[in-house]
Amino acid sequence: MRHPRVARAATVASAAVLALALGALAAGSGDRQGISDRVVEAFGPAPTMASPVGPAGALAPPQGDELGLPTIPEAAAGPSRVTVQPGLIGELPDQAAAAPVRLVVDGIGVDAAVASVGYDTRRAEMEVPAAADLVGWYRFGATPGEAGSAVLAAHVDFNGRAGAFFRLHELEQGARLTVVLDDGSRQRWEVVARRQYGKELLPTDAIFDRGGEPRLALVTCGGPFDGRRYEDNVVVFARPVGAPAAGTDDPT
Amino acid sequence: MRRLTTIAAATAALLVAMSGFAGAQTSGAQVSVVHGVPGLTVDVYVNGELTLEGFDTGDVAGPLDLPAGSYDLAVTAAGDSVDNAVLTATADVTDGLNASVVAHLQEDGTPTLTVFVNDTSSIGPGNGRLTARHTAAAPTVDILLADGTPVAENLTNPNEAIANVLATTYTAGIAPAGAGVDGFVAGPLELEVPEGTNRIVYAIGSLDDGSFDLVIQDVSGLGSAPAAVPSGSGDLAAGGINLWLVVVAAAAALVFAGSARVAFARNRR
Repeated sequence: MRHPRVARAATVASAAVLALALGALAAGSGDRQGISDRVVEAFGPAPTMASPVGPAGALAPPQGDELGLPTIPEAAAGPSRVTVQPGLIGELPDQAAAAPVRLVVDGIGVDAAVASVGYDTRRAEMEVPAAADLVGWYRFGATPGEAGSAVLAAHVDFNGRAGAFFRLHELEQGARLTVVLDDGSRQRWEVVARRQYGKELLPTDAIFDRGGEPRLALVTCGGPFDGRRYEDNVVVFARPVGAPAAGTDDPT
Repeated sequence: MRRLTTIAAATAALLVAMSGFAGAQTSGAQVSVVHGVPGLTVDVYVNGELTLEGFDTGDVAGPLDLPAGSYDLAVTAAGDSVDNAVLTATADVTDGLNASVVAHLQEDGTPTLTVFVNDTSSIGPGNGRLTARHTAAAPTVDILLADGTPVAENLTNPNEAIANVLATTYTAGIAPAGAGVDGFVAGPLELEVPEGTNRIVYAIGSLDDGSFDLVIQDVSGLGSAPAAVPSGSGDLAAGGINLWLVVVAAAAALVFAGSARVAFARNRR
């Protein structure tokens, strides 16, 4: 893979922000004049560059702490470095990511295989394995342990049998569970909360969120059965053991 | 696969004034740079400043976050002075814009810069978006699935075709217009369309000298969440009503009522 050297920033008269955005790209530029350490801090060290910016950095506005205010990094607005990647179809990197293959929840007697599932476009629903004892991982969403909310769903009951998540509604805050990935690694998770939602109120944007801190959402059905389907979903939210607690108790 | 719609791309003057276009970003524009001129390592200047150095054929750089404004772009042979730029263009970028600046060959083999606006609108769950851009020194082409199903027909340089399709792997190839699968000049090859991603495929290089190739740029993060999770058949009804018990009970009640009526009728006889 080639890494062309990214040279100094474009400078436009108006744009200190541009200076920061592009200047921070300056891989390989040994030139550090005019840049404050705070700007370096704001962008963080980049693996490929000795120093992040050229003279354009002199245009950077005063950082907050000079005014006695908390520093708000300009970089927080978004990606700020130019990445260069090979695009030729024969040179594309293999992007196969790890996938979960097994879920163990001691507290409710779950030790189940996990299958990768997708989306049923005809029924406009997430696919859930057509089996009582299988757990489905929504492969289009987050991978457990990586950014975003990974979704594991299983039936509460299926075809006359208790499903893998038959007792999901018993899981309490603090309960532990283990996710095994196909590379053999094991992840420990801790239950943050359990919620029950009417199907129409299921917070799908949060449950299937593909960004943010690594989270896990275990989903099954619950509530009254109306003859065709359950009226509710039961969702258990978990975070990696040892991860800092979120700012709010409500994971959604 | 649904047939692609052919769309004329912005060219020449590169006026990309697309205010309000699919504004997923809060401010500024996201601009990527794609190198599709074969056999030439280049430097890219933005407003006279060296921004990308030693940029090779097939590479994709970015996206750069650019505040809205007008930018002078210049491409030089690697190491050459900006005064000797081989390609220049001006791009006016607006907030929320997502665009790709492509250095590529025209149909007659002369290099040019073309700006394409990338479709960043939300994609339904289970689907991806395929964008095919003809940026090669090649005549009008068709893109076909291996079984001959047309994906895009009569695509010309420098235009594009876009469609949302089921996220899966397709076997497809490129043929001169009307030549069919027997005329494939590229492929058939496996092309995955990832879920929630606008996978942009550029045909680059020249058919005549064998430098024809494909470059892929992904614009990801466009997916949306499923609306529902069906996860119970109601057989055992944890916390709910067991439908089958209800059915059985109802049937039993009917049978009982029926026999009671019969018995009652007999008694009256």
